[in-house]
Amino acid sequence: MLKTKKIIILLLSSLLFLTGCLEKNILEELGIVTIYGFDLSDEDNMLQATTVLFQFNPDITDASQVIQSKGHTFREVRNNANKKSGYKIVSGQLRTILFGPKISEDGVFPYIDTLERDASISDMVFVAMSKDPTEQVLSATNYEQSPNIGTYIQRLIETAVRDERLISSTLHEFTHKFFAVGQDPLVPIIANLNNKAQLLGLAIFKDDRYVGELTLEDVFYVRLIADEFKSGQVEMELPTKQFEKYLKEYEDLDTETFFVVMDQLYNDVNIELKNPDSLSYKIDIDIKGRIVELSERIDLQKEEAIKLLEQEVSKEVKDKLTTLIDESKELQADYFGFGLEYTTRKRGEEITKDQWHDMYPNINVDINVTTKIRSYGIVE
Amino acid sequence: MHKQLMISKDKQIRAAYLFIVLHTMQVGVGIAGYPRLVFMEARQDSWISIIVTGLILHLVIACMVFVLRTYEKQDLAGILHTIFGSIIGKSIAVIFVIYFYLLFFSVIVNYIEFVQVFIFPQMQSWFIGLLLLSLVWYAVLGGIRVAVGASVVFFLSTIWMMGLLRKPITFIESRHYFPVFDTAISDIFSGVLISSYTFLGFELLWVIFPFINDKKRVNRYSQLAMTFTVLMYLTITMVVIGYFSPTQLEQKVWPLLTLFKVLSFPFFERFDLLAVAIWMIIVLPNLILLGWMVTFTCKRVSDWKQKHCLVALIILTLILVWIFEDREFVNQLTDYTGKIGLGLGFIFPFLLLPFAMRHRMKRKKNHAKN
Amino acid sequence: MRRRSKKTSKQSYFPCEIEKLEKDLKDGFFKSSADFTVKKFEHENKRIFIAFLNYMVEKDQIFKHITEVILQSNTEWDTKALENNIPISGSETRESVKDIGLDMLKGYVAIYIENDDACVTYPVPQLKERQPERAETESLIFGPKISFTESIQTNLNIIHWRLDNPSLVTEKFIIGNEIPSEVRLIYLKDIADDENINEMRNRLNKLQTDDVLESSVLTQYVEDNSYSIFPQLYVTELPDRFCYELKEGKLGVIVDKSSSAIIAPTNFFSFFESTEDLYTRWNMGSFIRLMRLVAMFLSITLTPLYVAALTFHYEIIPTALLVSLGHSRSRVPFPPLLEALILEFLIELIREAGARLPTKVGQTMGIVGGIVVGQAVVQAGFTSNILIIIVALSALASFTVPSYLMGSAIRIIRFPLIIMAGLWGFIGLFYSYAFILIHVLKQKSLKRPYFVPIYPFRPKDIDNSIFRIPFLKSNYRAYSNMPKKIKRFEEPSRQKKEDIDE
Repeated sequence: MLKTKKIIILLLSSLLFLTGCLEKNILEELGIVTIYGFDLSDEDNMLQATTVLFQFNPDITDASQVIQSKGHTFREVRNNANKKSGYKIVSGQLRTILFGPKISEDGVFPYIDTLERDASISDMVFVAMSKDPTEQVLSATNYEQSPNIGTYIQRLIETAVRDERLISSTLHEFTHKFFAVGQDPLVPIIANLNNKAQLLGLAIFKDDRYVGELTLEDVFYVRLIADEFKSGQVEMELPTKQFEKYLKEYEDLDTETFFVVMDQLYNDVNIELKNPDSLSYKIDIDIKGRIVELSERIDLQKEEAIKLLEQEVSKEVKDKLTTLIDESKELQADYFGFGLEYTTRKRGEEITKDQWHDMYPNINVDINVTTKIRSYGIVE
Repeated sequence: MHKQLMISKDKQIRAAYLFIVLHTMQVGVGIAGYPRLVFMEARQDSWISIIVTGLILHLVIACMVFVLRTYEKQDLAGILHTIFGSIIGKSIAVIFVIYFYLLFFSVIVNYIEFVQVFIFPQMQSWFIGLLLLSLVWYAVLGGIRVAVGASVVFFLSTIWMMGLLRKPITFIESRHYFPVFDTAISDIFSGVLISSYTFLGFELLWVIFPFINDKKRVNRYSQLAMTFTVLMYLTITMVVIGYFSPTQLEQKVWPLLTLFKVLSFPFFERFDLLAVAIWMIIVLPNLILLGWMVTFTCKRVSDWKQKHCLVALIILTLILVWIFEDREFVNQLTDYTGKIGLGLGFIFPFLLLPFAMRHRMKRKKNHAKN
Repeated sequence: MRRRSKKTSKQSYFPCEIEKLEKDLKDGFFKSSADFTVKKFEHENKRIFIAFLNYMVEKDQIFKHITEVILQSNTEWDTKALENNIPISGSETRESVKDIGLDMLKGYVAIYIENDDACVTYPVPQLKERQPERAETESLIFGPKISFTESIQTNLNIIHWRLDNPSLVTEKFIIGNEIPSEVRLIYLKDIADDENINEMRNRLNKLQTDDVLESSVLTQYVEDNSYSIFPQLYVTELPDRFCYELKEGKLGVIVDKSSSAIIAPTNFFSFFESTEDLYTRWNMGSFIRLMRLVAMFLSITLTPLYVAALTFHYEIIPTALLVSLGHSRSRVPFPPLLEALILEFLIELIREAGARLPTKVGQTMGIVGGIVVGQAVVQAGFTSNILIIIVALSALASFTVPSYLMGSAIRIIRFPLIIMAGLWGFIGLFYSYAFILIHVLKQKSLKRPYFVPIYPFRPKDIDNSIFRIPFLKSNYRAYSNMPKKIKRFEEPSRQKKEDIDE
């Protein structure tokens, strides 16, 4: 018995060690991709990729490497990229996917889907877009202290998302919105200005196609409905006229509008579908915030002044939102997510994304904004 | 075969362990794919299906405990022998052995698939099988105490992973849960069917019962285990439904593992890779206890030595893993096992109920006579 | 002729002539040993024979209490008179040459008066022993510093002084058929579990060996599974720890000629306890205990994780580390597995060399090895600098374990873990962890479960092993030791809870 046991153990262990032939991914032999830029080439409509990767080398301190390649499919593009590199190109450390203008107008989902199916790629990869060919953006050489342009762009987006200046669009969130009936994705636009990549605005996608864009200032208003603020910040332009009597005496009125900056902003949204058949929505938005900057010296000691300020802010928000919603109706891109509300209320029948896109321009939105200003900094 | 099992004191275990043991038996490879399956049937009302399944589960357990208490000191093979006589009893027991083995095998194959999809596509199936089986062999050799111990320790070393749901919870879109009560009854019922496949594993109670020290508490702890499992499944399913949009969820084969793809720590960028490896620790109690169940019942039916049954089990599994490497086959096998499990796990205890009642009546009469 | 006399001596060897006794002892028993010393003299017409082994006895005592007493008296001596008049206790009356010889080996002096029926032996042993000193291997900052010595007498003395309790039992065993040594099984009869005592007694009784050498050798004779790498019985050189464990209901075994004592049964977590945790405050003690467990975990995790990550799972490396790791790795000519093994081996070398050399040189060794070699190794591109940190950290972590045996076990199982991680990444790593856990679960110490209080799960014992609570609150002994008295002391009467200002 003991002998057979020993033989079994011996056999088992020798078998185990004999099969130690797994494909290894030894760090320094890899070309580790941090960002992919996808374009459609103008001549032959082939997929064209700019791959930014780390290649480690004992002597050169700059490990960054940019490779261009072409192909019909993502695999082919990657294999072609590998023809130009002595390192094995792997995408397990991918941080950002950047889509060029043409490919975005064409639809990005097929590429997103391939990446999503790859188990080695994280779901926290950012999806972004550029209005110039991606090669141009990724060839920017000023990327601050970051090790390469890929990690720099990731940091750029991540910081903005954390500061609530942007709506996050990770791979998961993009697909989530893409698949959801009644919500469309928004994606940051990155551009190369003066040899440095920077945020330009947000691209509006209808399904997976680029249809329009928002400025970074608009993001605040979109977030008011589509997301929430924990401590947001906004700058608003208000007409000076109503505030004339509250202006400090020694001030001369020389501009038509003045600026208010609010921070520590926090919002509470309630979207209600009043009537599913006529598609009328009622949106209640509560904003609470603190004033930190005023471009004119308004006397905030007076309660009426504050009241007026609150009213004006509410009005401004409402106006802005109405324009944005109207614009989005024109584009048929529901990035606010009104459709989600519709699907949760509509019992018994399921609608498709296309159906909703057709219905979307018909919605009526009744917006109701209340603002509360809490305190006004340390000086009164 | 001795119908009565005499278990020496140092082999006995406390009933409280049933809480963990039954729970670990129910949680395994199934949970990674389960939320999608139940969602495909019962949509956002999946929670109703789960709760209904939970209620049925409690009933089944109560029934099993009733039957087992009637024939104290007997396991499934002994009870079947008492009720149906030697030949029929044994053949039913053999069916159970085959069923347990199917469960065992489907767990192994499913885990092998995890590893191949998420970590090592090139790793051969039989090799992963060998790794798992060597551990099963080592643990089952230690007997029931080690099997239970492994399940307790492995449970304690993996339960913290529930806390990892905290991050995905922040991504939840609460509107995915509405409208409530929108699913047809028939769909909810198919959700119940799907759930019942996943909740299998409590059959362990049939075999482990004679080993329990304080049999009075068996019911309490088994029921608690069921509640715990149901709550765990409920939480996970709700998080998954909120996290993915409906169409997206339908495409994810293992939503729970995909969920872990958003986790990253300052010192550990990608948690999902580790999760699949840790899943081995979650799956092992399943395998060890099932391995023990198969070999023990096998021994009871055939009078072979348990050691020999164990060696046979391992060699057979290795060969089968070697032969069947097809994903389609894995899915079919899992479905098939689930269907058998529905009969043998959920319905069978109720079939034994009348026999147990008659047995009790008889015993009472005998008592009265004496 | 001699043979015949031996045959008759079956009944009684004595009376005989002094010369014959001398010859039989010296040439027969002691094989003409040069140390065999005989003194013969006549007193009151009786020839008296005194024999001893030269360096095994206190000659002063023989001179003072035996020779002088015999010579100064005027009466005629016989065996009885010897027993009555010589002021040394512990005399034995021996009737065969073998018995006399064995006694002399233990430092007895043999006195024979010609033509008497028996020979009398007196213990006057001279034992060169070390004074109890500060503990070396298990050094403490707080608490008693005394450690056991090589003499069982001194050790028993220390134990008895610490445990002045009438129920203290010391059972005596003689083990070793070539070199018999005294072994004592020590326990508190009122507290220790009878099953444990019987089990240990049986094992000691059954033990057949030529020589017990040392108490850590004895543990290897009596432990449950000799094939496991984990020690199953605690070997300590600290009397305070030994006595604390006895008081908790465990058994102790001490061996003559050995400066350490055995504690049984022991569970896995006791190897991470130190009596110092008891001497410090409970919260500090708990923190340090938990820290040791974490340290053990880190020690067996860090290097394998590094190897697995760099060989297979580059995805998990955080971006901040990725670049610096990549740079320093690109200089290294070996795969990560080999790199880690080389460095781990180097650390083991430094440790072993430091331990073998005298203390002063050993310290220099540590500095040379640690700083000079470490620096050079990185500069030469032999290993990456992050691995140096990791390996040093895990070596440090393994040294926090109070038990040297357990510390070594942890350091050694690191090697298979590294290899598994290098071959099959996370799968290999978790396979190994699962294997170790199952292995530990299967172990027993004196037939008691080894992994208590985790399995069998005894939540009430956790405060006695994994962390500590204030002494007044923890008035129960650990259940897993099965003590007869479970309560250490009566619960202090609860004070009524008062409102904030009352």
